[in-house]
Amino acid sequence: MTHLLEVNNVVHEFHVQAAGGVRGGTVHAVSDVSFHIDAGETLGVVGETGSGKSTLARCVLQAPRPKSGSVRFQGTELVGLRGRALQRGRRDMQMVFQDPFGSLNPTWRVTDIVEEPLIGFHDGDATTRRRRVRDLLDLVGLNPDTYGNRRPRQLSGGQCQRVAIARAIALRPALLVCDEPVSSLDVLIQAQVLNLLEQLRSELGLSYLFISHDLSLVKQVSDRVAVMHLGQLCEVGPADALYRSPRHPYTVDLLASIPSLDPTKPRSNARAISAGEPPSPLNPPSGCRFRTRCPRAQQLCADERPLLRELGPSHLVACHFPEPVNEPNGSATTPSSATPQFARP
Amino acid sequence: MAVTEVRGSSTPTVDDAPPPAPAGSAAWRRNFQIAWPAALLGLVLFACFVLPFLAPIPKPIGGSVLNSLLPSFSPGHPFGTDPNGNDILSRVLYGGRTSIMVALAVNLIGLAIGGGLGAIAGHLGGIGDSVIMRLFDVLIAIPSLALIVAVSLSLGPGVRNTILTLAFFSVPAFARIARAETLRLREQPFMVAAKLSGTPMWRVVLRHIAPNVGPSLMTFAMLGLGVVMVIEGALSFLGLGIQRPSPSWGNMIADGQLSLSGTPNLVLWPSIALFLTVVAFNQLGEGLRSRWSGGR
Amino acid sequence: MSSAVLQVEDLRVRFDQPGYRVHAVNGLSYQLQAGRTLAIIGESGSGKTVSSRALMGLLPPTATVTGSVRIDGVELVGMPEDEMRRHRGTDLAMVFQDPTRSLNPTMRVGTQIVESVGAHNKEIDSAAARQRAMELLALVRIPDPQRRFYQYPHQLSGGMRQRVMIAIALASDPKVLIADEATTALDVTTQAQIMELLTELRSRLGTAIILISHDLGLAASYADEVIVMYAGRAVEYAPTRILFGQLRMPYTRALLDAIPRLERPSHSPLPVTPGQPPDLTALPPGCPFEPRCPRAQPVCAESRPPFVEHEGGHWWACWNPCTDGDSV
Repeated sequence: MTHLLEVNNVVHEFHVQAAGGVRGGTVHAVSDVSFHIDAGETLGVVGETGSGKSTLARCVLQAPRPKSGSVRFQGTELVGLRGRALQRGRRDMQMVFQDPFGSLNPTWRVTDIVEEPLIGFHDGDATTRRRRVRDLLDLVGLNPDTYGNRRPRQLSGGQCQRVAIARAIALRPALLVCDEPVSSLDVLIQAQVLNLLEQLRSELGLSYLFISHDLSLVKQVSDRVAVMHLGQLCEVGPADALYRSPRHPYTVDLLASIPSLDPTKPRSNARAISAGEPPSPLNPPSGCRFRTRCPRAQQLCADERPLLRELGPSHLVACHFPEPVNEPNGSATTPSSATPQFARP
Repeated sequence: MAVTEVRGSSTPTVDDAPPPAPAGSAAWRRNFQIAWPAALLGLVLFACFVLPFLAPIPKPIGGSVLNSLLPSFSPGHPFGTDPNGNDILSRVLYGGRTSIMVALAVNLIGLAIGGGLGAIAGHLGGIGDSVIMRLFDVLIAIPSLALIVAVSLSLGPGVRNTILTLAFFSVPAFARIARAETLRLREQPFMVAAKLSGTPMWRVVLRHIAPNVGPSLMTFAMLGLGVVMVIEGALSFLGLGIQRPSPSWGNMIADGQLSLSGTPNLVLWPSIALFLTVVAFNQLGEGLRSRWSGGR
Repeated sequence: MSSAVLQVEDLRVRFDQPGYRVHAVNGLSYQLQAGRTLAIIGESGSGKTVSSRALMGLLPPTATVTGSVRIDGVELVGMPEDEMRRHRGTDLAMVFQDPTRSLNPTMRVGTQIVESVGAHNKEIDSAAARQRAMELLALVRIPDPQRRFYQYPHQLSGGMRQRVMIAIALASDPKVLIADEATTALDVTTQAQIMELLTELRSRLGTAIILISHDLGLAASYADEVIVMYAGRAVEYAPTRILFGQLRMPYTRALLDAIPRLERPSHSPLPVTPGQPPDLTALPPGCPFEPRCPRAQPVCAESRPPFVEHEGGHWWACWNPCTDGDSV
């Protein structure tokens, strides 16, 4: 069975020259990342600032093109394509961005913004395009008569995000890449937009690559979740299994650090507190990049990079010494270290 | 324990009364900021380009030496006459045509060529960007007045050559601004969205970059108009630029300065005209800038 | 009751713009005891940030502040700017959301801390100020302070910069520390570290903390008391456990329900509150949440519910409050 999107060994690095050349170097933003998304499926990618999750999203869309690796979308290899061929190849892949105002050209009207991809791909004549724009605005919950002629600065952040979503689904894409689509919105507006994304998923059969720093948010929208740390995936698995029984120590720390909504519950973040700061992506540690913050780290972790291996059904973990399984009855079992390695070296 | 007192919770207080100022006053103030320099500019343009056809104003050249150096407010010559007996009012009006046209042409050329090249350089990035911008850096690095004189000498005098000379030097500044603004835009998500929408490059430049970069360039052009008029005057002072006896504000001031103490009106009237025009352009540029940036 | 270090009474802030007037804070009152943490929770435009800037005297000249803010009995509202400057820092200090923009990028972090030590203690000599700056770096648990002292802000991570900001804020032993979305820009593990640091400093130094945030989880985990603000007013106030145990205000309930939670199954629809927050230039005569409220009654549109203490220590402003176990 072929996947809708197949990403293999993608690497992206860029050079930085900070503050008058005081600290220059290579940022290892994405280092050898592989994953896939099936039709109708949502993959959530969660990670901290600087984990490379946004760069990964951009690399999937070839904006910018990754330094090496392969991105196959609907059976077409995108890396290496240029010009019109690239535009045709990624036609069914669109993006929703974090900044609601930066996503929309401030000098354009709402209808022109939503119409842009229809014009770009010569989808229908002017009349059908106009009608489609009205349908799209209706679909994302904006009255075309009220909002069609407005410019972005006459809209609220949530409304801007709805316009951006309407533009993204105009070409009936198969995959929507969402990079922190609700993190600059207030909680109540955030819920409105999340529900809209959910409604579009079921009505249009969309797949999502959903990037966020918020673990609860990712849980809300995802079928599968990938945890990213310093340019590498450390755990990928079905959302339920991954949250019920996180196997990578980093995932455990992340989950423990979420402030609880129940004030009577004692805080369980002691390990994350003592773990210190993430290392710089300019100079990542050898072997496992999490080992400097990991309570389970041993010599092997410094010598050898752990590869993703399957520790449960579709549950991949890149750790030499994974956390024990959280059984519902409380007992924990350690997996045998003889489990075959899954990822290619 | 912490919240002590409840005040004004159930009844609306004075603070909640509707704002007393009329809602239109802000808009009116913004409009005024643009309206008065626009009106002043309109007046200057009318006087220079239309008035000479309506009113009995003598020719700016070919005056009689018998009338030379009449003081201001003489009958028939409200601003007086110059050493050749030409009417100063007439020379100010006709000279204004030349000065304003030169300034407009120089800035339009700079805007089109500089703005276009700068936007393309910023949008392309990489080698294309480096080549275009290094060329302009070289232009900027050379002491400008010296080079203006050199170019002007090699092209020769005349209105057209003056325009070309000055335009040559306004292009790099426009290019720098256009490039900086384009680079800022390039990082905006809507530019990535345009790429994903299959929008071709010419449409990206025309529809995404131009409307966003345009306001800054227009503002800069407005400020530049005044500068060009002054530089044209400096060129005239060196005997380059607009050739006598054709008047321009620049060469009138330059000539008049030689006899400033004896006949100040030779300098006074074109200076007032230049001053009013420069102020009008600058204020119009400033007003437009604040309107365009205020809405964002 | 009188041991309150900070007393805010009927604080009102409005911004006068040509043509309109924004009512940002409309009668906010609270008290804060030494060594306690008060969380002020709200969305953008709720007045949570404006009210705290008003305490600090950090609002632009278009703002008009009325009401009363007393620190240890000293009235701050209406105080001349030069006198205010003395209190800002010594009595009240603030840590902002963006540590990158709050620090001067061209100065070593140590120098910046020394400066703020000197600013509040004119007599201190440079060696002592340096000594104190080192102590502060150690106090905020920056590892290797001897080395970090000579580094520039860009050489530090976001969490470290925020620790430096806290060190600068603590340079003068403030009585109240205002953390304005101080961890919003940080990652979840770094946020936990900074919050634990603030909690520890509070108990060690007896500083009172005002936590300005949009994050109810942060309030539940780290605050002693919580004020929920909407449209410039407090709409619910209670000690944390009471508030999260027996929610009364439908707005607070809506906020709490709209947060995605780990316990919720994937793809389940979130309870939605329709509409937008009210226009602060023209507030309705009734409850500002009424147009969006699922529990709204005719009375809610007509008159504004008073903000009063209904149960022991639990205040709210609602005509038709939620009851225990209610969900919207």
